[in-house]
Amino acid sequence: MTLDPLGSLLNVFNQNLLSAIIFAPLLGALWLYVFPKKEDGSIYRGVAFLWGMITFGLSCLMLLKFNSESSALQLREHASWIQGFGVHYSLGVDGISVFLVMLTTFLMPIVVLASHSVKTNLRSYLANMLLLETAMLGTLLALDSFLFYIFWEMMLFPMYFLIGIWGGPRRIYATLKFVLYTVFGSVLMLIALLYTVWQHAEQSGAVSFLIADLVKTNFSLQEEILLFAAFALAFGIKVPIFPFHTWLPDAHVEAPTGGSVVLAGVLLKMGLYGFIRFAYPLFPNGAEVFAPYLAILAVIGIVYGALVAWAQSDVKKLVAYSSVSHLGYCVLGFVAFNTISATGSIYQMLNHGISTGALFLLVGVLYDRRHTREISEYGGLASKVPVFAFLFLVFTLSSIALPLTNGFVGEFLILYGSFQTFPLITIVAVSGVVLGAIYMLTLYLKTMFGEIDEAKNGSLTDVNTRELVTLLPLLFMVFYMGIFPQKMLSMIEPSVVSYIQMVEERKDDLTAYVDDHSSGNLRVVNGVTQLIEEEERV
Amino acid sequence: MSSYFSSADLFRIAPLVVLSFGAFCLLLMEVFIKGAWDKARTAGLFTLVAFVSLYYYRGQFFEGSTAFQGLLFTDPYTFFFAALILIGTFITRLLSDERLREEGVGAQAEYFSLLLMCSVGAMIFVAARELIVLFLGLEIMSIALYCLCGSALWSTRSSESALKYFLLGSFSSAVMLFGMSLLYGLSGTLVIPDIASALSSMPAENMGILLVAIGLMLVGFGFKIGLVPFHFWAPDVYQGSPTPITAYMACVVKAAAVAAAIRVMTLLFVHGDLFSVWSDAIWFIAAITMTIGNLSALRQRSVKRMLAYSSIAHAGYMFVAFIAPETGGLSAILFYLVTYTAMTFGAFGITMIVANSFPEKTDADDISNFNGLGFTRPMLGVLMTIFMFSLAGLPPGLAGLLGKFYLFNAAVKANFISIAVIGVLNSAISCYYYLNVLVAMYFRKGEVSPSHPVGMPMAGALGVCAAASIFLGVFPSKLYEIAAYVVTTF
Repeated sequence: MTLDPLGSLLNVFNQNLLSAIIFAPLLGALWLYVFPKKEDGSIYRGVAFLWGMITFGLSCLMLLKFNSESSALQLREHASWIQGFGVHYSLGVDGISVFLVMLTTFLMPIVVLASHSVKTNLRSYLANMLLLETAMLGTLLALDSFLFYIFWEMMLFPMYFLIGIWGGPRRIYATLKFVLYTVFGSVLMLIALLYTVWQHAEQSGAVSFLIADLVKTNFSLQEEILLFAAFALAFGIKVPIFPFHTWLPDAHVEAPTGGSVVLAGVLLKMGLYGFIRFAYPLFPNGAEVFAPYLAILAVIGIVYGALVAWAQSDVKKLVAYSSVSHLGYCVLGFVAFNTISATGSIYQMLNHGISTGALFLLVGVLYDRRHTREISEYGGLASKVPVFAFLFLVFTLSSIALPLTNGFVGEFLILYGSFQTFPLITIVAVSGVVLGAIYMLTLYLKTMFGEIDEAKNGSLTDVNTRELVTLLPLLFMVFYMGIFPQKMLSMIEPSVVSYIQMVEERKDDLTAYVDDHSSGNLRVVNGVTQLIEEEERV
Repeated sequence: MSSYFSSADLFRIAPLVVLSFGAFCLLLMEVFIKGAWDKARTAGLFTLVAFVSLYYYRGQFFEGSTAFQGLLFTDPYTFFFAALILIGTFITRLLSDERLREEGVGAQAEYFSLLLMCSVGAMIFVAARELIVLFLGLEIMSIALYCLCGSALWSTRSSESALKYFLLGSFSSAVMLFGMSLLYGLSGTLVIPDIASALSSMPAENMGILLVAIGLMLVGFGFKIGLVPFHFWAPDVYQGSPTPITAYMACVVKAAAVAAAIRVMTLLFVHGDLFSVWSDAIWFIAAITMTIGNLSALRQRSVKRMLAYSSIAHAGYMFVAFIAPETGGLSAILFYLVTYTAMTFGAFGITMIVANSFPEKTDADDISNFNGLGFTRPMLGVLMTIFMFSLAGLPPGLAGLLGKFYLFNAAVKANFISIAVIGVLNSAISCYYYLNVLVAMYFRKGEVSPSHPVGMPMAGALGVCAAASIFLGVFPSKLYEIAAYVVTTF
């Protein structure tokens, strides 16, 4: 037997590419911890950037290997983890998750570069960022519900420290609120999950936590409603859907710039991703019952978020509330549940990650120079910092969905699609577009135009090369995704089509109810025939 | 008539013999050795020898599954807990290093002698197959423990805790003894399996007395485990005792009491009609234990008190699974006990290091003393982070997460959804006070940094506990399989 390190390394990339993507940042974090202590922090930044780029490179490799024609889960990995309980280490990627993975790995090196404002404990800051990346990627790629749950909970730990150690003055309040909200949501999800698993075990005779197995479970309507509610609470808090959004502005305002970028860019999407991967396929009938309410809450979120954003005097809080509004569109598009709106919803998640991430970076740039985020402190900046003003304009326009920017594609698809399902609600939602333009342009007007009224603003310096390097990739993506959306949409769409078909089919199965007198519950035809078949076998 | 016991019986109780011998040796050595000698190391050595003898004679141990004409169980269940008790005793010895003097413990030889004695009692308690032996084990364990609680001679808190524990403990022992006497009256025998078979043919009019007997037994066990409403002693005693003893109480004594309770209660009561009465009572006790434990922990400033309430809450989590013995609840409890032991020992160990750095303060374990620890002593910070997350049941403390997963999984599988929901909500509440320790360590600035060096034994113990708190969660299957096998054997 010959030792072939290169061969076995290549083999890892062939067979375990997704594992490599998930655990590369973890390796980076451990590397940072064993790295000898240096006075100059930039070496840590270099190491973290390197690992961020390695992960990004690996995810690019994943994109190359991804078969865009297929709607199936690809690059599968499968191993048993907790024997006897049917828990697996199972990974896979499809059109729904592939670009979310790309977004995560794309943002991370940018966040590492943007860590210059972090003065203390840079090493732990970067290590926490990389840990967070591992957790997020694991959440996106897990196909086993328990594995998903572990990664889902693992996202808390680094974020808790990122806000708590490097955050603003009210960081302790903000970080505890963030963690407690999330934990309260997710523990009920765990119970609902366990219930689902044991129902599945009763019906099929095999214990399994794999999503692919669990979606074959049949429930009575009451059960589905309760279970869906438990899952929806966990995911709804994370999105956040109105009225569970109150942790978000606190967390955003107190978080350091990098933390805000990751929070807005990726973390919030996990909630909707959970709806897509779990809540809908597992409980399609519960989802059907809840869909109108979710749509209404989404629209309330859109309008309310926009109005509150309008009233803010703090730039960061304004962007945070705009996130509530934008995520409302994503939720609306998904619950409308047709191919166009759902594709638009996934596309909009990516857009929001890029444009809001960039806005938070820009706010960070201002904050680093002036140490205030009050809108009234700024004015007439455009004449002093033209490059900054230009970048700010582009991302503002992307945020309010001007044609040719990425935001337009997403919002258009969402509104066009959801009008077919919820016409009335969508009309209300459109007002959010107008409001969005109002508050973002007002912000731009107040800060960039007019006279320089604060003496301190007279000495502001424009964005430096490093800041430009972090923003240019995002700028490129704004236009690329705005002008050539077809490339990415065509990769997302097949998965969405087959996904919707799968969920609708399960719904169809379940539309014909029969009265099961023995239990007094409405039992599903499918389930009953299955039980009868089993009895006949016995 | 042949002799009362064979030589094989002696091999089966070899660890008990070694520990008892060790306990007396320590006392005698203190009298006869003039110079300075290392008591901790001697006690540790005896514990190790006991562990080796347990392992070495495992062949004889499992043979026949009882010893001394049916007075003791020698089955895998007993073996499992004997091993856990010995490991716990050894970790307690590792925590009882040179800091003991700062904890106020003057008479070290007596301290370690009592510690070994207490472990002997705990092992007898777990192994008992007859009610009198059960009571003997309980009393050997308890009386040694009363003295240990008061072993910090110059601390009024320690004396207070000893007296409080002694008074309440003797009450609860008496109550339990009364329950035993009722059982004897009902069945005419003291051997636990025989009582069970006698009870199954008991006339129906005796049902009332049996219920009283169950209740009285439950009070006795509940007191030692720290179940609500028999928990009032716990915070004061935990806070007043020397910290290694607090950890020992929270882990070893609790594990022994849970083990004995599971066995006795399962053998006696968990069958037939009694099960519904029994499970209702346990349901209620588990629910209030979790809730009161967690809610009381929220407002604590003293970390030891906080951990005391948290250990009450954890007992509640364990009893959630006790309702569902048919669906893997018992093995879940065993798994949880092991992970809980690791993380609780770790948490107390670090609390002790921090508290000893402020010898002049009366509230040395106040949470404000943890301020800034994460940066002044990064390793301690990382370890405490692991323990706190594990206790809260969040990653990266995967052992705690998996432990809770098994517990609540058993309850859900047996269709006790509501208690599982109460359990997880409590677990979410608990995140607040566990994370509060991290808030102090990482998010607040400390005025003085604790500068005490950490000795090798302590560092080793903490490292092992931390590793267990993570890796028992990453690779849980083996331990769970063992636990699942072990509970089928009694």
